[in-house]
Amino acid sequence: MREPADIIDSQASGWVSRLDRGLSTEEEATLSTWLAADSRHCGAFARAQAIWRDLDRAQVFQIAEELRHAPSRAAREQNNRPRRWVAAAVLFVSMAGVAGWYSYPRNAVSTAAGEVRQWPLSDGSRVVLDARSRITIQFEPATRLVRLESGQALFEVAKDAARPFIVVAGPYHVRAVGTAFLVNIESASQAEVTVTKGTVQIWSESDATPRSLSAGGHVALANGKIAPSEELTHEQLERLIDWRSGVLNLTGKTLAQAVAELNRYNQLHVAVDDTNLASEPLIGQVSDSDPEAFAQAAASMLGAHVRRDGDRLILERGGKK
Amino acid sequence: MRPAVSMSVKPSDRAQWIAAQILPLESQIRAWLRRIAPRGVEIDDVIQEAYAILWKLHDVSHIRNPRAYFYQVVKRLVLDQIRRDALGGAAATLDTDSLGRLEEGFTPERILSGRQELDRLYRAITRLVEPARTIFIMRKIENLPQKVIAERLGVSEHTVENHVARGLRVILLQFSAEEKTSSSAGTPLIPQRSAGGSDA
Repeated sequence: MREPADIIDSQASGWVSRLDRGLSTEEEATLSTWLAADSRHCGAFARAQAIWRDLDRAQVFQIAEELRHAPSRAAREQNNRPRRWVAAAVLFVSMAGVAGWYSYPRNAVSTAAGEVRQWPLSDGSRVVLDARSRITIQFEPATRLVRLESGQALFEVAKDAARPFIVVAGPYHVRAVGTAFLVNIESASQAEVTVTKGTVQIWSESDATPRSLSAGGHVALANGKIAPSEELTHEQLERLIDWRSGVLNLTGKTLAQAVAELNRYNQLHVAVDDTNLASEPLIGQVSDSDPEAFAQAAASMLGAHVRRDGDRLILERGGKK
Repeated sequence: MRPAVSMSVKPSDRAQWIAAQILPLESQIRAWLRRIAPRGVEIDDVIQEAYAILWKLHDVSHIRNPRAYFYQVVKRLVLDQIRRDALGGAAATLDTDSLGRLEEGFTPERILSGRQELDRLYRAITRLVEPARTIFIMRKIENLPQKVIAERLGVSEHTVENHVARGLRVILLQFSAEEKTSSSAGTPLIPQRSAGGSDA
């Protein structure tokens, strides 16, 4: 008597597919009627739409395949997928806007709290911009320059040997040469670069001699200088790109660092008023969109407690439990 | 998360909200329902009804804790269904035991981590049989519109649309059925208060 759930799911899938290619006016009316007929139609449609939408995140696998060990080239060729992405770069910046550098602003793109977005660039490259981040794109005949002004971004660079792709963050320049690499810039003068595949060249304004860094390598940059490189494990690499996936990895971070990161994604901010507490190390992982859960978890891990103060959750010690 | 667009939430925004807040929870809710729901309660129906409620909400910006909200909605639907069935003399009976477990609540101890969700999406797409697999890769990984896919594959747009529908149907099913393999999710940050161990 009741329509079985799986029949409804089939119908909902049909509607989502039609909606995706565009509905005629007549179809819109039919859809409305169908939705109104049974609340389960509506629910199945909502769920199908949400899953359809969720699948958009699979776009990161364009990058991920490069960042990981490019697992299935065979499969890719089987699918006739053009192998366009020869380089991917992730840049992490958490610096307040640094002025200057160039005088003709081009396309600026930015994201709000909690928003991770993806833009295609005119050369076929793409950028995935993390929450509260901003880049300006300046493509010229001879170079492709992207300046990361705040936050973090992941770049998939389309190959064009004649036009180098250079990401500038603060005083540091990172040039893609058929590689995949990560850059993490922590302040106007502090950065880290990690290469997952191939080689990059790094230089800074005060030290213009390019340094090469290749797969698995990681260097710290501070005050315009490039420190000796070290090797990172695969897990460490993965952790660096986790921001695209809604999870906040706490392992290896202090409370202060985790809070700074979490606050970038959320309107509800967490504050730590105690410097001893702030420097305590954390472990585990949490959703990056749930400050309350994070605060509770951190409090119970560190023997602190959470106090709500308007738009802020304050972590402090000294309370009873 | 994003600024509240109170009056005119477009369906696509709502889909996005559901995708971000509720989908990661669904398999856990299903597992929980299987544990606590008395016989006769149709889990698929409850889930569809629950999504319908979220879809029809005028505004979701006031929902501070979507997980808790979804759980409340589901719980209410289960109780409604039990009452309805009891009135009709149907099989579902409301014994104090299951009611107690229902009240005990839902602790989402194993929400999929972002990475696992992404892996799930990847699996969902790559497990499809051809030609849906190729079409989904083109549509969802390469972000090509259906029309362009039809041109590139040299088939009609109608064919692409049908394969999208069928492929999505398969993926919907995977999303309902995948909890068994997804239970090894992210390391919980804090040991969960064991919920009494009443449900061995």
